[in-house]
Amino acid sequence: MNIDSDDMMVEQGTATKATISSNVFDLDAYINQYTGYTKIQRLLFIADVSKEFEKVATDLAQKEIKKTPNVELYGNLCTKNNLVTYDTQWVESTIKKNASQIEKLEQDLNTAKSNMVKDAIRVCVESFTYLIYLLAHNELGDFYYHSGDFANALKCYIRTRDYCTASKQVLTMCFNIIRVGVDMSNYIHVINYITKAEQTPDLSPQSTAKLRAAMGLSSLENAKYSQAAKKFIEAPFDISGNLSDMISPQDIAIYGGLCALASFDRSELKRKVIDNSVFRNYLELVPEIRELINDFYNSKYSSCLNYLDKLKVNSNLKRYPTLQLDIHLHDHIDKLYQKIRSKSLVQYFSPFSSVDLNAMAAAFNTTVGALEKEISKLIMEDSISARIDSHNKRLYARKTDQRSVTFEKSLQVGKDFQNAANDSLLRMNMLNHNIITQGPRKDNEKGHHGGMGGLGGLDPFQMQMEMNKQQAHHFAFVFVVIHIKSSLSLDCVHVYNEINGSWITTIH
Amino acid sequence: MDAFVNDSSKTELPIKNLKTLLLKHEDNLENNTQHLDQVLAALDPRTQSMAYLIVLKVKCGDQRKNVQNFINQVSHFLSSFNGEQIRVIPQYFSQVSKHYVEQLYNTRVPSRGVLPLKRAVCVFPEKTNTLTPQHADFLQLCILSKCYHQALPIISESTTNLNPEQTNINVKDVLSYFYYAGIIFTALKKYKQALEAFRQAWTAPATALSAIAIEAYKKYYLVYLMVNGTIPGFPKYTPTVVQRTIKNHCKSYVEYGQTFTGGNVQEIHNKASAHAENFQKDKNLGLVKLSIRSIHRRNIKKLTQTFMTLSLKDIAEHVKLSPADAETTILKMIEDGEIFATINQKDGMVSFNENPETYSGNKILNELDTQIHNIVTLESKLTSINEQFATSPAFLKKILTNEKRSVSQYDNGMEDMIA
Amino acid sequence: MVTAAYPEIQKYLEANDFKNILSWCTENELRLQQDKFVKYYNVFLINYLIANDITNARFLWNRIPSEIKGADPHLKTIWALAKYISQLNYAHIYKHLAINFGPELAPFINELKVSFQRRVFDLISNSYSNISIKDASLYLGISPEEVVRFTQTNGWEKDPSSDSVKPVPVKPVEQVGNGTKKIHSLTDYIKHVRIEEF
Repeated sequence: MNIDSDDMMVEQGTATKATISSNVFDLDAYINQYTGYTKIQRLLFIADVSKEFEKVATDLAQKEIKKTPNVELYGNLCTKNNLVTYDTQWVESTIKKNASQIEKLEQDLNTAKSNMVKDAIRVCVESFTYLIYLLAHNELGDFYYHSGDFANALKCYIRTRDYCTASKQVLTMCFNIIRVGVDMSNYIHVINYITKAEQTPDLSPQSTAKLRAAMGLSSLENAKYSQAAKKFIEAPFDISGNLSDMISPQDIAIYGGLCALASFDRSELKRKVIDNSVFRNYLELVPEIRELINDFYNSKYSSCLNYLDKLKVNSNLKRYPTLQLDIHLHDHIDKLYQKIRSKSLVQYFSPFSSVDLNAMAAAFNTTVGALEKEISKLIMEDSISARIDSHNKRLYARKTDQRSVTFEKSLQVGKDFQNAANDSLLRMNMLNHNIITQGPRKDNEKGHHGGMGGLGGLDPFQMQMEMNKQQAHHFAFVFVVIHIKSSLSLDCVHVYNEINGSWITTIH
Repeated sequence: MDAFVNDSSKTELPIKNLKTLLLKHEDNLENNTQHLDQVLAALDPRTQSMAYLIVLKVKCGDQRKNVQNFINQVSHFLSSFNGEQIRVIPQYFSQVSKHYVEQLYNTRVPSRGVLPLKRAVCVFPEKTNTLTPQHADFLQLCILSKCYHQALPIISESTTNLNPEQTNINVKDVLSYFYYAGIIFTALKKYKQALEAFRQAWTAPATALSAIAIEAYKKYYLVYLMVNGTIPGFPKYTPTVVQRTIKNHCKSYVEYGQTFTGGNVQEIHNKASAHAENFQKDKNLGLVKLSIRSIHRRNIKKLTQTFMTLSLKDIAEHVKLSPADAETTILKMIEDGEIFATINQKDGMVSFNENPETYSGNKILNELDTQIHNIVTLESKLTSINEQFATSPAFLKKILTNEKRSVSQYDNGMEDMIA
Repeated sequence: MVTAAYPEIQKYLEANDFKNILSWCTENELRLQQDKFVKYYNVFLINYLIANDITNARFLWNRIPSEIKGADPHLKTIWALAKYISQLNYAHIYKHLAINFGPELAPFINELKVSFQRRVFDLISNSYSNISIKDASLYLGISPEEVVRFTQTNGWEKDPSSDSVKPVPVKPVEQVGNGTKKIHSLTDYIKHVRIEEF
């Protein structure tokens, strides 16, 4: 059923429900890339988040749900959304069907179990019964999954683990659990079983693709963008629809591209994304992302940011929605965008010693005032080493004078050493003479310690070590100073680095 | 009485014998308190310090004495005593000086005791940099009489030696000394040194928490907030009992600190007023107010890191002050050397400059010289202590037992392998 | 011959050595008998202000017994002056400095005014690149025409477009060090470090 998108109202502006001018977005075509539960999940999400698509998405969702035995979800949908009329007849019949199905499956399971016990002696039959048992569990698990009872489904799938003999079976189990985990949003299980699956030998590229995509997805949900990017990029190219119960190839391109842009540095970006022939195939599916990444790399920031905005809010693209409607990206899109924007600001400024803020504001589609605020934040986070000349509206790069810094630091080290040494001497003396704050004691033990005028309470080894450390620090100071007095600034830096690194250990 | 005075003139005797001789008279003195003034009149504190001190100590126990007389006598004694004779009876000295401080406080003339105790603190210890109970008494008097500047030269010297036999010092004196020193430094606005002093008080070795440590920590916390704008941590040598429990006694301070780091001035004001009663009880309300005032300064300082020039209007907006106030604050900060800036009233702009210190020239050379000299002296002290430990019998014994133990373990291992 | 009002510090006064006057006062506040030192409280307080030590001035004021504060009229005015200095209320500062404190205190007040003006002048020179004549006259306590005259003799330019002057920063005086002493200390340090190595 094709929705005629042309008679949708176009609304600009933002609201708590994203109103998008997307009179060209083809929800049907988009959602048909997916199968299974994720399709329903995405439809529900879109209904939640977007006003225009609410009705359409809910309708589609309702139809999809009816194809599955998931009565609970249907009930939730109807109570939440009074656009949908409650089909009582369907509900009742499905419940009956579900109940009988569960009965049958559990009976099968029990028979398989009892068979196993009876024929335990006959070894050759054992493997066969194992198989039956395995299949029974899988079926039960599948059923629970389709009815929306994820907890039970997970339990069943995990139980099959003991009966898996062939690696293919293990793989199937892992994929099942991964599927359930993703739909439950329980990514801990997902990650565990992905690692397990990756350890099975002879993985087909499709399996690898699925595993990598799943791993990327879990990293994305955990906001580990760099890891997510790496995993998405390593996924072998697969448009067979194998992944459709979880993710679509366009999604891989979008998620991977955005995460890479937000977290890789320039050389990584070039090596892993732009020059990557495998990932390029995915990028072909979403040319905007490809253009976006290339623009960033070639420093065409305003065009890059334009693409980003278009993708987010104003999608003229038929095959996929604006990113705010995407179930996985929704929570992360702002963070990712912020990161990409900050990176472009830093990259823009890096070759300059001074730059005109007006030109920079134009390049980044913003006003000088807003740009000043953004840059001050970046400077305070130490991402840019520069200072703003607010009077003339310029940004000046800031060079640190190594020589002054070294002087300052060595004076500070000297003062700190003196303080620390005096403190330690005092504390040592206190311990030596047993001048300690003590709680009320029942017996009077503290008498005899005071007599030992030598090494009261402190372990002499510890004290020896402390002494050595103090000497070393002192040495460092004297060395630095004498060096400074007789050498050029380059030498100072060199010596100073030695203090923090190997020099002290040689004294020890 | 006369026998006592006669004995005290026998200064040719070795000190220990003189001490035993004179102490024999103590009971006699205690039974004849009405004659003590006469005895004192006959003694010269310069040469007969020990005898004088013994009489004074007996007088402390006399409830019916004339307090003014007592104060005069002690002041006279402190201004002229001979340290060598006093070091053998330090507990008497502590008793007398504590009683002295008490009487001065009761008669509301603490300032009279400041100079005599100052001399006592310098003359009494045998080695320099030794802490005595009189240090704590002296600081207490300075605070009570508001003569903070008198204490400054004493507390600026580092005191690392302790000699309980000679000085009868105990842990309360040490902690009080550092606590008072911190208070004096804070009053004189030397905040970095105040932090050092307070920290000594609450990181002192301890197996139990003391009230002095808690009070010192409270003040340390507030001064730290004022100077650094962040919450202080525990240095690694803090005793475990302090680390674990001290924050439970300063709940209002910890809460205030957390709001403070948030940076929202309105919230900070609210939090301060909410806990004002607690702060007032601890007499720390002034410090709280100072910490709030320091926020503006710190915000301006942060601006100098980000901007090269900024209009006065923008600065005022950033730190939430009026432009006139912002200008006066910046002027004060330039005067104190906290920031380096130039104000241009015509354009209404402030230019922030880099630190013009080039670290070249005579001033820095002299400073480096003094620092190195201090460190070299300190280092020789450390080496000598190190040698002392390394050659001490207890340490050598420990090394030997450790070696023997590791060797015997090896032997046992061999035996197992063979068997 | 006029008898000196403050005999003990007369010699310092004649040499304009105010630093030593201050240390004398600090030493003798507690040493002398109360009645002998009473008349010096004024001098003490003013000298703290000359040295720009407001903190210690405040503590001194708190220490002075209230009977003395009530008896001496000048003491209260000097303390008011101290408060204005700590708040940098320039208008009131200069008004107070103009009050007649009597012939004994006159040299001190004079020195205070001179040193205060000098300090403010240095501060403005180093902190402003452009200051309005109105503000400069407020800070320095002199009329606007005098401001122009005074500053121009010190090298400041008058900015014709607006009513302001451009201060010139004041360079601090450098002290030359002793060369041979430095070589001695350097050899000592090297000797020390070398010994450690063995």
